[in-house]
Amino acid sequence: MIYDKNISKTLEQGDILKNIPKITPNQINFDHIKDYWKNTFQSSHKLPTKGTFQVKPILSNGVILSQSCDIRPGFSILFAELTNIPENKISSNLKKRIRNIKKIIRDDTRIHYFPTDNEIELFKEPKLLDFKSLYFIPFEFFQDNIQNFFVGRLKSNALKVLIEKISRFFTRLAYEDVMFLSGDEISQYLNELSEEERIIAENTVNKFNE
Amino acid sequence: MTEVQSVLFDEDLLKETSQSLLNAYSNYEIYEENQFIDDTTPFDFETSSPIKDFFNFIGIILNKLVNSIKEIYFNIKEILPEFFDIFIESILLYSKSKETKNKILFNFKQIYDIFQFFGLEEIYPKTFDKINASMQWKICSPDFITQDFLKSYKNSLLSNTSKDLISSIDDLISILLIFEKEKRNNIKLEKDILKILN
Repeated sequence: MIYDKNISKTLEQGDILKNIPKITPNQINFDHIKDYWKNTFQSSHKLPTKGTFQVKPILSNGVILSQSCDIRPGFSILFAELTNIPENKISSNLKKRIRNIKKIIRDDTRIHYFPTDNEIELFKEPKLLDFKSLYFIPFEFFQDNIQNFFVGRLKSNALKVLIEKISRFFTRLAYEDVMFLSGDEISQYLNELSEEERIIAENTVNKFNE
Repeated sequence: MTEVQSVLFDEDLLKETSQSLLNAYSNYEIYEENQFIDDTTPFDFETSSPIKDFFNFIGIILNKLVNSIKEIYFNIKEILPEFFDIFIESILLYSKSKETKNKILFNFKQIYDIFQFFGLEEIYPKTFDKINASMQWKICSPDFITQDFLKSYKNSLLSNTSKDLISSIDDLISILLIFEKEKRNNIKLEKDILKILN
């Protein structure tokens, strides 16, 4: 419903592309870079040695987050990765499924929901957009080549929702929920957290009590 | 030594078999002699007998058969690494096809163990490179081969092993590390998603 499948000659914000190379710090051996950098700094009296590092791009599907006016030669396009929903986690109960989809779209800042479309191979199953999995690809990679990667374009109203979520993700405020709780609520809340999360929440409580 | 090798080249076993044959013949000879003394009057006869020739004949045939099997086995051993490479490539191509995507039933170590039973000792660098590329292009899962296996295989190599092989193994280990990091990120994402979906 929300996808325009006509292959475009240009790229715009909200376009969905498949089989693109994802390169993030994970795909580079940063331990090597760290050693090389440290050694170079420490030998300031010598000329630095040549630094060459391996990169291993991984196959990925993504959605363009860059504003359309920034998608031009000489610039890199920002993508967020499309990922599969964990297997068997989408409820078969229709009411629950609809409730969950609404929660993702309206409440969650990290992920966005892309529904199924039986006419598009990539969307035979619904997908999630992960705003924390971001990467850049140079514009030139797609020049004269878009048809090999283009899946679809978000229609206008769906694009507006995506734009609003992009804005929310990058401007969201980080805070601990525990500061709005009191008494038994705090104990109950702390009991439900993982070890790591509990330590952070307890530190917040202690800071407020100082 | 592989299981097959240990049977083919067990000299003690071969000696034992020959000895058993010889004992069987000796016992038969004694029995025949006793029968002959009992049943007939003594007269001059030839020292060679058809039965002795028959046993000799069996011994020669067996010897030739074992040597032929050894030769065939050596030839098979020489082409095993190439055959293993083709087999792994076939599995990866099977996994690449849309209909059978990511449906490999065996992992690398299981396949390697079978080939090792028949004498595989060497894995070509190109085999590791094919797995590496397949992982990058999500043709096969990072679970297909483990870091533990790669490190253990690398440690078993001789000191004069080619740099290409070491480099291919290290390369594959590095991509497995990349996928490990991705997996850790994905686990965190999954937890967040499950909080919403439950």
